Amino acid sequence: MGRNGAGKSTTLRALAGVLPPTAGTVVVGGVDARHDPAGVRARVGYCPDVGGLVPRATPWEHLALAARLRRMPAGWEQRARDLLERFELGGATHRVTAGFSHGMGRRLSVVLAAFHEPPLLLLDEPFDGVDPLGVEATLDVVREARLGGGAVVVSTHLLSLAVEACDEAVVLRAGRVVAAAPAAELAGDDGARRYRALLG
Amino acid sequence: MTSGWEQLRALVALRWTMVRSRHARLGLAALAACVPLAVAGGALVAQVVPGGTRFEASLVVPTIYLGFAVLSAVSPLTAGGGNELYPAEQLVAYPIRPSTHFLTGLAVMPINLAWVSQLVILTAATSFALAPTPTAPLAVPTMLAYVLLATAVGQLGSWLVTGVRQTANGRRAMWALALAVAAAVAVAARTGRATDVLDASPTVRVVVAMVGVSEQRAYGLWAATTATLLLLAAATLYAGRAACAWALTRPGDAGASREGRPVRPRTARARTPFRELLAVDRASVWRSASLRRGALVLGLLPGLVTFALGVDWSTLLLLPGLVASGAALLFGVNAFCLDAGGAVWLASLPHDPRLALRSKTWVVAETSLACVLIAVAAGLLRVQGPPTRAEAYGLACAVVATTVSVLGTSMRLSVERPHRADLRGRRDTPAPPGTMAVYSARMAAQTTFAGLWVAGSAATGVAWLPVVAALPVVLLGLRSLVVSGRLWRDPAKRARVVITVAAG
Repeated sequence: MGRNGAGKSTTLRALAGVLPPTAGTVVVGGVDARHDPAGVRARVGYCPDVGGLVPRATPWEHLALAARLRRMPAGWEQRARDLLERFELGGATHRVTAGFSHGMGRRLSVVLAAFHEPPLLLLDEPFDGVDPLGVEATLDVVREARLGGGAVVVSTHLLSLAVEACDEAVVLRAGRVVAAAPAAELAGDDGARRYRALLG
Repeated sequence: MTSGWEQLRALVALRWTMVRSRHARLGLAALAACVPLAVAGGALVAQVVPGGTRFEASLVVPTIYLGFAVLSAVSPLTAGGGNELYPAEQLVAYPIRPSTHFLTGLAVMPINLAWVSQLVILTAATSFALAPTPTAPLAVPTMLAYVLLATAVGQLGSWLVTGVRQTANGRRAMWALALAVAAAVAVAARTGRATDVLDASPTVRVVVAMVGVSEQRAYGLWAATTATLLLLAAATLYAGRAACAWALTRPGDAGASREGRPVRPRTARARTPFRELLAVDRASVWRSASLRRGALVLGLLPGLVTFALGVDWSTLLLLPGLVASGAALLFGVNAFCLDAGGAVWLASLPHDPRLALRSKTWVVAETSLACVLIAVAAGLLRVQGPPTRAEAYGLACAVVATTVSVLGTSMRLSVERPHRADLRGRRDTPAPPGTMAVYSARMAAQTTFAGLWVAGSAATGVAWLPVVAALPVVLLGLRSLVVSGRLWRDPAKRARVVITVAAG
C-alpha cells in the first residue's frame, strides 16, 4: 500500500520480470530477475495496474496466447472456461476487449494472472472499479492461491479489502518500505488512523 | 464559452508544448518553413522554364486541380498522416465546439505531406500555364480561393460520411457510392471517355479565368470566378461546421462500433508461440477500423488512379515506394502500439522477446507488401505497352527494395521512438500529428529516392542494373532491422517501449 507514486506498481513490474531492476536485487522463487527474467515470468501471474489487455484481441485469444507461451498442457480450455464463468465473462468470451468496461477489463486481467495457477500472484489494483461480485471472485482467487501454497501480492488503495485479502501489509513511500505489519493491525478505525499516519 | 477560433488556438498551443523531443520540434519547424518555400519555389521554377509548351501544359492544369480536390476529399477520410490534434476520447471531458473540431481538421492539413506535395504541384502547374504578364499575379487569389474551397469541401465530406455511417443503411449507402465511383472510373477508362469526363470538370472554368486575366485582361470572368469560389468556400465552411455538429451528435446504431460484437473464434489448432503471437497481431490490424480502411484505400486508390490513367512503365516503377511509405504510416512506425495496454501483460509472459519483435516485423511487412501488390496489380492491368526485361526486373526490385527499406525504418522507429496510441477511433494515428508529419516526410523522401534510383537504373535498358541498384537499398533496410533487433535485446530499452505504448 502507499500513496500515488509511492512505487507500488514499479515494484510489481520488477517482480513480474517486466521492468529490469536498476538497483538492488529481485529474486522470485530463488530466481534472480536480472539474470533469468524468463524464469521469473514463468513463476508469476501478473495483473497490471492499467489496461493489461490487447485491445483488439478477445478474452479467449488472450487465454490461448498465455497457454501457448506458458506451454500449458492440454486441457487448459476447461480451466479457462471455468474462470471466465466465475468472473461473469462467459458471455464476452469472443468479444474484443476494446469494448469492455473498466470493471470487465480488471476482472479479465485477474483471470489471466490466475489462469496458470502460479506460485506467485501479483495483483495491481485488482479491485479498482470492479463490482461486488467481481471483488468476491477476486478474493476467492486469492484464497485459492494461498490454499495452494502460493504467495499473493496485492497492491491496492482500498484498506478494507487489503485487510481482508492479506496476512501482511507493507506500506511504501518514495520507493521505500516505511512500515510492515500484520494486516489485521490496520483493521477498524484505529487501523485506518494508523494507515493514514504511515502515508505521511 | 470560448469561440471555435480561441479553442483551436488553445488546442494547438497545448499540442505544441506536448512535443517534447527537440528533434521533433526542429523537424516540424523545418516542415513548416518548407511549405511556403516549396510553393514559392515551384512557382518560380515554372516561370523560368522555357514557355514553348505553355499552351499544351495548360490543358492538363484543370486535371491537376481536379486531382487536388480528390486528394483533399480522400485524405480526411483515410486520415493518412494524421488530421486530428488529439484522439477523440481525450477531449470528451471538455466543452469543445463542433466548429473547433472542424477548424482543427482544416488547420492540420498543412502538415499532411500528400496535401502539401499536391499544393506544390498545383502552384507550379498554375505558374507554368500562365504567361509572365503584369496581370498574372491576379491568378494567385483565385488559386488560393480554390485551394480553400477544395480543402473545406473535403472536410465537409468527411464529416458527412462520418455521420451517415452511424447507421446500417448509411454504411451500405457509402459502400454502394464507393463502388459506383470505382465502377464509373473503370468504365470511363475502358471506354476511352476519360478525356471527355475531365473536359467537363468545373476546374476548367477556374483555369480559363486565370489564363484569361493573365493573357487577355478578362477582368469580368476572373472577378466572377474568384468571387464565386470565395462565396462557395464561405458557404462550405459554414455547412462544414453544421455537418460536424450533426455527425458528432448523431446516435450510432449497434453496428457503428464493432467493439461490442463477438468476432468469429479462431480455429482451435495448436500453434507455435510465434504463430500465436502473429495471429494476435494480425487480428489487431484487421479489427481496427482505421487500419482496415487505411490499408484498403492505400492499396486500391493508387491502383485505381494508375488503372484510370494507364501509366507507362517508368511511372509504375515509382508506385511501390509511394504505397509502401503510406502503409508504414498506418501503424508500422510504431508497431508495438498494436498491443496498447496489453503490452505490459504480454511482457510478463515467459517467451523469447525476439518472437514479439519478429511477429511485429512480419505483420508490418505483410501489410505493406499486400498494399503494394494490390496497387501494382491494378496498375499492370492498363500499363502502356509490354515491359523491357530491365523494366520487369526494375518493378520486382522496386517492390522488394522499397518494402525492405520501409520495413527497416519502421521497426527502428518502433523500438527507438515508441508512442502511446490505441488506434480505436477511425481517425486515430500511431503517433501524434506533428510526429506523423515528420515521419511521412522522412518516409516519402526515402522511398521516392529509392524508387527513382531503381527506376533510373531500369531506364538504361540494362536488365541486371536494377538488381544491382536495389541491392544497397535492401542492405540498408536489413541493417536497420538488425539494429532494431540489437536494441530490442536490451531489457531496459524493451521495458521503455512496453511501458510507453501501454500507458504513455
